[in-house]
Amino acid sequence: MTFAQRIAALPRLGVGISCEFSGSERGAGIDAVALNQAWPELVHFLEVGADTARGLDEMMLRWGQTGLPATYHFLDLNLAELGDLDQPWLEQTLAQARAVGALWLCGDAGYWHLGARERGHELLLPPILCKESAAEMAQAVAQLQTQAGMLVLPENPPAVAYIGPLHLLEFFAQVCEQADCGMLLDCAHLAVYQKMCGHQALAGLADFPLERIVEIHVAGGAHREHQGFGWVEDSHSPQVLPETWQITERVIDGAPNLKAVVFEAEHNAPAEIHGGFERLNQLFPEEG
Amino acid sequence: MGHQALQRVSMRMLFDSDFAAQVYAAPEESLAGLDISPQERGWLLAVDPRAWSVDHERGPRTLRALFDEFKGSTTLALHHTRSLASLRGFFQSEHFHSAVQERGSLAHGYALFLGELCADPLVAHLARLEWMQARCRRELELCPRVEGLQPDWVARSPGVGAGEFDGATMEALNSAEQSLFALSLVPAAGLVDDAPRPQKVEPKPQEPLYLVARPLDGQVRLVTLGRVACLALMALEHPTPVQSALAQLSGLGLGTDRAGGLLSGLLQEGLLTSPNSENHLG
Repeated sequence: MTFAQRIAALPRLGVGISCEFSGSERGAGIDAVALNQAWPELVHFLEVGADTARGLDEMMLRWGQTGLPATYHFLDLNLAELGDLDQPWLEQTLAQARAVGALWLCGDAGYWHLGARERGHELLLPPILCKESAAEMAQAVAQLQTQAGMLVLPENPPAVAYIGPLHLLEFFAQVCEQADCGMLLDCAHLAVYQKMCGHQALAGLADFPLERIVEIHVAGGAHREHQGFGWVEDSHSPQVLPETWQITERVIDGAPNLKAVVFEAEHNAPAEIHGGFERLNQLFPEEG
Repeated sequence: MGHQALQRVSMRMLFDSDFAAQVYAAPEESLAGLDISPQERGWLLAVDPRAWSVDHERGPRTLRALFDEFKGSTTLALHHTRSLASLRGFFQSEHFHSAVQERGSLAHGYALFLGELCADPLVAHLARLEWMQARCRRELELCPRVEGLQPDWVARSPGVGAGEFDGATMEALNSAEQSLFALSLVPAAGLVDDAPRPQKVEPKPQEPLYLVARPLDGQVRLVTLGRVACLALMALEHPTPVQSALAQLSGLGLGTDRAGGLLSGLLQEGLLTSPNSENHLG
């Protein structure tokens, strides 16, 4: 099945919120089911962030029982390594994705663990930005897409250090073309990348095939300094950086196959994120 | 595949600032023997050296994951070294660097590191025991069935491990767990001089303990086993023809008949598996 065929069969989800295992128990963490009930006009779907070691938590399962839309974000597959995809991982991931009624799989396309897959590393690193690495990732995405029978959206991971000659968007354009897949563009991660590389916020977007973007992430960030070195933390705070908004607005305006916008604000109190959800719904209404 | 080698070097640099500094100071020497071209090396060196060390929590996050599977050995090691820095030394160790660069098991590397960290031999025994359990958990997750086992062969069942340990290993484990429980009641007590600590346990090398890890109710459980049965399971770690297995067990001081009986018993217990055990071992 081609990307065009897959995307034609998928509904527009609107704006949703992300979650991770037991996230609602941490700090001011949010219960997505309760948030949807409180703000049905603002929160339309849940992106479940999960791994096979921990499985699904109670809130995720409760969301699955509502029948509301969901997507599945894996946290434990090195999509940059062709050999990392194995049958037990695939079977369990698909079982978990089905349990929440996920419409597609997505996840940061890079490295989640050091060495062979083991629990809890939470590494999250981008791939080497070169054409050989893009080709390997494309093979991995295509293989996962075929075996899962679902759309798979690689996401640009965050980092402070990026290695390789390609622009991040050039790299993912190659992955999307070779794998014939869509993309999850994390606008906050892209803003970090552009900043770290000294680029303007929208650099490279004009040449990117925006029709491949199916989902975007929006999240807060924070400027930090370390030994005189300025960097941007992907903090998931309610304060979205202006550059992230700039990218978000440009992509929503130009991506014809965009189906879903996730506000990654799951660790904050509802009152802090209401404004963000309002703005995103204005930009990307559920009924487009 | 140069990009994979390069990626693994970058991972090592993120965790080991000394190594990162070496790469910048002497790149050819530091990266010698790796499949990394001069061009790829140039990509790496183009990164601002300060970027590698911005995330101070990276090491502790990984240690937390390792601690989950090595609670006893880590606790006893820290009790002896009284230094968290000693634990962070893992990221400077050859075991860490090899596990990352060769795509091995980080948990196994950590077990080896702990085994060399202290003079107390019980730390090494505990690390080996906890690695045995960790390996069994991985087997159950990744290959819960023995695929392609030939007729007339036997193999250890998935999730089963066996080992010979110092006789005080379980006592040391219990002592470590008790101190962790006491700390869990008031975690801030870990900051004070009279914090709960493991009780002193003397090694008992003359009284070896034979332990088997086996799946039970979806978990890997430890059970004690007789010396010969445990040695048999240790000897049959890899798939083995039945006749060779019988010869190996006979070598443990058993006659042929008793070797056959032991093999049958281990099969009946589910500790060994064979496609057609009844035809050959009855």
